[in-house]
Amino acid sequence: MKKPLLEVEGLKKYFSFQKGLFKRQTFYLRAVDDVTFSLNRKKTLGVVGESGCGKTTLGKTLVGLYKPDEGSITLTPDGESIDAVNPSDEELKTIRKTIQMVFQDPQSSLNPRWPIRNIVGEPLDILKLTSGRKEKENRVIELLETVGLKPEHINRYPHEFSGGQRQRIGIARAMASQPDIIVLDEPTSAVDVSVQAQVLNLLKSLQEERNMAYIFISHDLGVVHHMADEIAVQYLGQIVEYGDSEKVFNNPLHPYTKALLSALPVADPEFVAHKKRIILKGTLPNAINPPSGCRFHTRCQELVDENKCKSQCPMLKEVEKDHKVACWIYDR
Amino acid sequence: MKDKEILMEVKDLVTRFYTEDGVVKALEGVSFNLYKGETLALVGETGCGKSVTALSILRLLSISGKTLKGEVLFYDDETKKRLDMSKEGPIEILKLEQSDMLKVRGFGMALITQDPMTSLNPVYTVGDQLMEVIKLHKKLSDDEAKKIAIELLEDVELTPPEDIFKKYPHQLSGGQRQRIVISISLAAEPALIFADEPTTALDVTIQARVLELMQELKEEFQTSLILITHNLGIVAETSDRVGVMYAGRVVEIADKYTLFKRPLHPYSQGLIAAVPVITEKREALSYIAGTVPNLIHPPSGCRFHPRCPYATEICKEKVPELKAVETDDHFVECWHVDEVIKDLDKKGGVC
Repeated sequence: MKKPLLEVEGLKKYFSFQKGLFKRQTFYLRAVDDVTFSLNRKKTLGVVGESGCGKTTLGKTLVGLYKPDEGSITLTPDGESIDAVNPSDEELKTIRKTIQMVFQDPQSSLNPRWPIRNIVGEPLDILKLTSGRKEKENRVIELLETVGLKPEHINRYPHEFSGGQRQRIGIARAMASQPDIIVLDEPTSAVDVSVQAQVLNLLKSLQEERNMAYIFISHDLGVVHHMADEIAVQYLGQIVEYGDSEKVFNNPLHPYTKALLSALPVADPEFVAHKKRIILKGTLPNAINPPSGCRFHTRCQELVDENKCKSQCPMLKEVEKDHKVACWIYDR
Repeated sequence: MKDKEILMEVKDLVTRFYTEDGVVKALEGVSFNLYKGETLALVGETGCGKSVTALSILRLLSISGKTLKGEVLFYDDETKKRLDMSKEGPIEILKLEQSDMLKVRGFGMALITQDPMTSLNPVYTVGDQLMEVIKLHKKLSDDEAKKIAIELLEDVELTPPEDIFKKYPHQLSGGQRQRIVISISLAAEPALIFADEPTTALDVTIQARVLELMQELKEEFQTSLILITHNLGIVAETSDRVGVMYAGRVVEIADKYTLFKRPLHPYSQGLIAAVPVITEKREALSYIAGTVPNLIHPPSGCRFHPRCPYATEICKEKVPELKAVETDDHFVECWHVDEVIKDLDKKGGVC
């Protein structure tokens, strides 16, 4: 069997910090806790969840901005597998060429003192993808054109662009090394709907052209539904439901997914008129001391067996084909 | 719709901001009616004048902003009594003295702002901030005011209210803080509440509860609501009627079912088609070509004409008027609305 482009197994990323003046105590914030999934070419995995559930940390760990505490990330761009957790210097370059990231806020992720020429051209220099100034310039112009910007933009600075255009610059920079995977962290949360539609269309057509895989992180379920083939629902660092996008949306299994979907405002008044809404109790618990057992049990509306849910953590289990869920309801 | 009582009439509001770069023509003739007990949503993209409309009516514009023209007629008998107005007819908000305006704000109209982080005072407790409003509008002793404050906290489901009363804003979560802001806005039982993107800073599950709560409280306190948002999902869930704004004008106004099913302004059509929804899967999203115009130098005539597929010469020269089309409560301002209707019937939908 062919190995998937990206394989993640048992990924953990904890942040530690100390508290207390005399009695130093170490606490761990479990941002990503035992995450497993795989991703193939041309596919989009949508990662959804509320703020603070560890979506962004997952993305940053995947591209190597954080070093995971445990688990493995394996990339197989062309036949040969690379261990992305402990790479050699040579491998690190391949990893950078394989996986790239577009950040949430284009305002703060572009250097305000650099012209676009440098911002988009930097990966080309670092990875030695072009030789000579002329070639580099041509390549930057080509990249700008792919994302719908004009060649004359090359000498402008980020503040001269609108939010949507800045996000395009971020995409051009991520595309510079011709990656196989792009991690998109809330790429449209800072722009208006009509601009959002343009950016999403651009991402879709680029994926089609270049056979790329996307990891699409967002809290907007409507956008994720539009973009993703597969969905992972994250709650306090753990994936609670994972599977084919249509299956997750049409038949959500985990109580949290159900609540999340029912809470989503849908721009269709007739659909809204006969929608049942589940309102969750309380707020997202603190990820430093997450609830024991199933982390969702404090807010769960379908608690099956109180003792079991409180003490034991359910594992992701395949309930139907391409649809996994971590909940005791489906484990009897 | 006809049997409904009008609470507020806004007529031809024109607001400008005088900045270093030039005069920003933020509102250019905004008109709409608001009925008693309804939720009117104002939607549109950033910079279309949604918030400025609210601030112009409340007369809370920053020092660089000025409302040059227009009328805001407020039909609320309670507020009239409060102002000791014996004159017949509505209150003309834009002509009131500043001292009277202070009574209108809070008592007649209230504002829920977007960001609960910055709209509460960090150095006063929740209780102090609630009591301030209550005591300002009702002549009550501390104990009586406190009782009302506790009741309000119960109304917005903050439990236990006695504990919350003593807390400072930083000790509360975003959702809790927004509930406090809502309870403050309700403190004097206003006839009208402006909610400016009330849930943008909140997560979806919290947002759902806050929206539902606002809906319940609106019924209980019998207030009208002007909901300002860019999220069409929230509009579909919570409003009765919708006004679509573009570049400082209301371009279409209708009840929500009509607006989503049969939008007749080319901009409303573009906006609705651009939103991905979970009820259907589309291959590509349609979008509106071009960008939002700079309001220092807005386009002539119909401000949407540079981006409009129907635009002709007349659109560049003359501003269309908001006119009833098809039914008597569906208003559209477009020179080519007949053509738009013909195309819509041919296509059978906007998406």
